[in-house]
Amino acid sequence: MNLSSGLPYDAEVYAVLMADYNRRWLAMVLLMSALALAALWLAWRNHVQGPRLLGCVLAFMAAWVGVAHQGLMMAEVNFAASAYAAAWLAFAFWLAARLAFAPPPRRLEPGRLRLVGVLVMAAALVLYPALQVLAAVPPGATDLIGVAPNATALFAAGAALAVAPRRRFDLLIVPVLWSGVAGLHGYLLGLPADYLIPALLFFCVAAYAMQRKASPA
Amino acid sequence: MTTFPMKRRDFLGGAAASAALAALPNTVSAAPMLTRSIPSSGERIPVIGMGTWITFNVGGNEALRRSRFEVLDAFFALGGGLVDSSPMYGSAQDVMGWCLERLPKGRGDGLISADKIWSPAGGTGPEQMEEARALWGLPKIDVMQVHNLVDWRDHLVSIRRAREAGRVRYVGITTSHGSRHERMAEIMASEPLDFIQLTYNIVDREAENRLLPMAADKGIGVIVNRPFQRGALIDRLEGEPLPGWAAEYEINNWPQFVLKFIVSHPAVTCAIPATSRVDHMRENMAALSGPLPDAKARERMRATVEAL
Repeated sequence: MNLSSGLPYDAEVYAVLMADYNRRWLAMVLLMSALALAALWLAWRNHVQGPRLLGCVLAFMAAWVGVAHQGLMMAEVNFAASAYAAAWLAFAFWLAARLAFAPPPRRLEPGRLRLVGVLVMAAALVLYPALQVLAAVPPGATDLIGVAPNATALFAAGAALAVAPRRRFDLLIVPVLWSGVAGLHGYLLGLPADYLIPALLFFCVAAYAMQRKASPA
Repeated sequence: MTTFPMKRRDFLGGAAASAALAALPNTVSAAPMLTRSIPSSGERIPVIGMGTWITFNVGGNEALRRSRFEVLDAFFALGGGLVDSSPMYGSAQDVMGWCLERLPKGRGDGLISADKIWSPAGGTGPEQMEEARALWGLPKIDVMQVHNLVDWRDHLVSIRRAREAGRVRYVGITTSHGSRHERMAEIMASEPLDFIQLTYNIVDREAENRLLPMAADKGIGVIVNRPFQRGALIDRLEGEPLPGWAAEYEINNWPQFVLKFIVSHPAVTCAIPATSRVDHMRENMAALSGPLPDAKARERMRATVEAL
């Protein structure tokens, strides 16, 4: 599709649909927020079972984003949504395989990278919604962890850095790809808060690369 | 280009429609309305139609649907005819059907429905045409086009079959943004077509070089999309003073200036601006009346915009 065509919907419609979606799935919004807080605590505590528990939470979130946000809501207005839904479901399976059902790691993540991951997770939980509201997105229409893709991609990237052993760079692939979608979406709809997603994903990749260079596996 | 006095009986289907029409202060019921003939049939249609890209893709939200209903209601009340959509436009076809169903009796009698087959939307051409009829809630789609020339050979066959079966009236192909003009010209040269749809406006005049003269020569109607370059052209012109001589053509604002430039090209059948606002619809539809610029005035219009 020619980029100058933009998206098949505008910012007004997207905000209204997001508000409808958050209202309709309010129970899920609350559950996902609680799970995100629990996941952040787990990552901070750096428990040996952390990767498996976080894998379960992240896989659930990714699957929900694929089915409900992209597969049901966005498919009504965006012909690309079914492809995005498939990508999020694939990511959910990948998270389950690589974290939830993987054996516990023999050693835990070094402190510095874990700290970066925890900070990115916290940014997805607090900073991103706050920036959206500051950028005039109605509070009820914000993109939130576990129910919408931008915050979930950022949160998953932070979690991957915080708890996954260093060789699992593959867990960053979908968040990095999605950050491109999020940045473009933000540009086309005039939603500047969405630029946080590619900016922090770039930061995640840079932190991962620097850590790996400093301490090769 | 000819004008004709619009008769109320052509316009109003009954008392209910009349009452609803009275709510619209800018109704042009008694004004002469600019129309053009579809070359292949001689059927006359208003030169200003309506596109639905982005503007009618509002999903299932009822408040947004109601606001689009108001836009469509105003469009017909002000003399509109052709409405264009596509399976690429998300929920636009469904929203259009929802709006048509709720129009006052007789209001949408002048509808010329235009839709497209777009391969990436999935399903076969015949399946997409069936879905279009179901979504619009119409027994037939007037103009069925191959969207962006994708799989045009197969889809033209399907559309012609649908026309033979009485489910389509006119056959067309589309492109936009000035792309694929060479391929469009090849198809125009080799295939019988009723319509082409392309991008043409006062700052994007590439179609004047080959496609518009070719359409006129071969008797193919022309639907013009992106007349405002998705609003960017109007954003650029707004705030600039309208030249005084524009009043000679009953042009009161820049959207009318831009639209009158387009529809005054002798090969153009209809322009399809899209809007989600009733006030913008009124501005657009005002271009349906008043004199059309001649070749000299068109050149003056072009020079004016280029100088800004």
